[in-house]
Amino acid sequence: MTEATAGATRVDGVGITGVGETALGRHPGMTSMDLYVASAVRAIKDAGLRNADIDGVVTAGSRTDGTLMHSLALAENLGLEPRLAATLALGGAAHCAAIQYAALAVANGAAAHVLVAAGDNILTGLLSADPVARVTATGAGHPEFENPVGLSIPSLYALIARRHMYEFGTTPEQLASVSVAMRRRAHRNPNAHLRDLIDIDEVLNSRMISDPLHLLDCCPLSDGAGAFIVSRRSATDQDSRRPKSVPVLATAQAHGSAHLTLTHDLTTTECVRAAANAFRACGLTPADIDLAFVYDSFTIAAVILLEDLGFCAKGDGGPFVEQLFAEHAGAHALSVNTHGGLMSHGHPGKAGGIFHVIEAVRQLRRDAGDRQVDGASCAIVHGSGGALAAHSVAILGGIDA
Amino acid sequence: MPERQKSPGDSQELPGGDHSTFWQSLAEGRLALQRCADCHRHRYFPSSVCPNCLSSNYEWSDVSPTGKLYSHTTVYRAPTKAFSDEAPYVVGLVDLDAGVRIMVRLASADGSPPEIGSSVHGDFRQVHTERPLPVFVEDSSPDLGAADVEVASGGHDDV
Repeated sequence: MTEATAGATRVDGVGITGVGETALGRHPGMTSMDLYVASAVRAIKDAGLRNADIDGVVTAGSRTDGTLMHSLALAENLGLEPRLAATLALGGAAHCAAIQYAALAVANGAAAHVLVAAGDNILTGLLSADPVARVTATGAGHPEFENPVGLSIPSLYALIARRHMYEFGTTPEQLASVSVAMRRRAHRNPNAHLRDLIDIDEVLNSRMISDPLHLLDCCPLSDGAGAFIVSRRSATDQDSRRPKSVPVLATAQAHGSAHLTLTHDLTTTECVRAAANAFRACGLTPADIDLAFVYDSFTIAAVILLEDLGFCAKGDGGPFVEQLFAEHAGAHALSVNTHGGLMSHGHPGKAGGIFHVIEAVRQLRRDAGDRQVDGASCAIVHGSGGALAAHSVAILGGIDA
Repeated sequence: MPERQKSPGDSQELPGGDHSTFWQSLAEGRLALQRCADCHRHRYFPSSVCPNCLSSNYEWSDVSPTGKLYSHTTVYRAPTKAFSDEAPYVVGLVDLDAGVRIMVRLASADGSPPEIGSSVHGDFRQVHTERPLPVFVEDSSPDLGAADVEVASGGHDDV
């Protein structure tokens, strides 16, 4: 390991060779495993592979499916015989961490084609039974030292938001601009859960969940699943009928305390370290990035993570997003969450960032239809788990690289 | 029933996380934290080893239940039905003078939270369950009698 790659993984000749997904929304007739299987089959076919080619499998598990070895249950459904398997419990950081582990395995030769899949039927399978739980969820924090005060996932982020407002003067309107912008993107995405356009006033007038976060500051929870395949680029790129693979340039993880109470600084996250290490490993900087896919489980998350990925100074995230997402902003150097993000594309609760990866791949393949960003040739995908506790990033390059 | 034979794998003085002392202190109107016997740091959450030096030697010491408010949120949409009746309520993070941070409920006469940076202190008269709820109030607030203030300022509209 050289100095340049400390804290990050850089591999050559490894890429994302196939993607597949279901739409996000309500899928009342489908189990969690049905959704996983559907997305995986699409990804395998997209890569031009057969199930016999897939020898690695990584999943993010399920809240409704209690099977013991989830990744192997998916493999069983698909008729796989894996040499490498894992069910990753890193919350919303699982998808990019999975890219890292898959890239390491493929580069090393431990596996030829690693299937990564994530999704769930959280909306129809879990939350429909309890309306109060639809927006908030139990088990947000430490079961003994946090949850008993009545903590919910939104209130974890609300504590972060309130502190960011206190330290930097971030405003509710600036947070709301993230929600409005994500909905504009999802409006153009037939796979998205929430597509109706909204404006700042609607966000600010939506019911308060945990001050200062309104309902429309929070992502929805959705049924759906996505999958992608990591392979040697040379394994699939000769087939001219298939889209070219998207190279994985660098990946990195950096994690803080698992619980918010023990997180010393609520407004600066370990994403700073993960991003810096990944950029250094592949010799790029934020200025080289055309597309950023940040983990926008809540509006405040997008604001903080755009700071921590290095796209603006610490504390400037509020004005930065306001400017970036202004309706008539015109072409900007940076495109963010072109699919609508978790905020509007939706979130199955288990590694919803997998759709960030899929959209990044479509953009870099020049296959994003009327969402296509011209000249897209470099993307960073990020994911975070817990309340901005766990972080993983992946830097992806152009298909002609 | 004959006593089970001791086997070599039976627990032999492994460090155990003693949480009960913490909860007992709250129930008695005090705030006790573990202090590492080797590096002398206070720690929270209660745990079996010191996260700084990994020592399992510690003692419990009462600390002043005083500190500064680091952040707060008023929860309107409660996470479960059990909490809905209490909503809206205020959750806060307090930086204790002892050097650790703790998540608490914040109580006040009108249900509004203190400003971030305010001095706050534990008001353990308001504990009301077997597992006491850590409740803090602003230093400058008038003396809150347990009868005057509900930890839950219920009666709000639907959640």
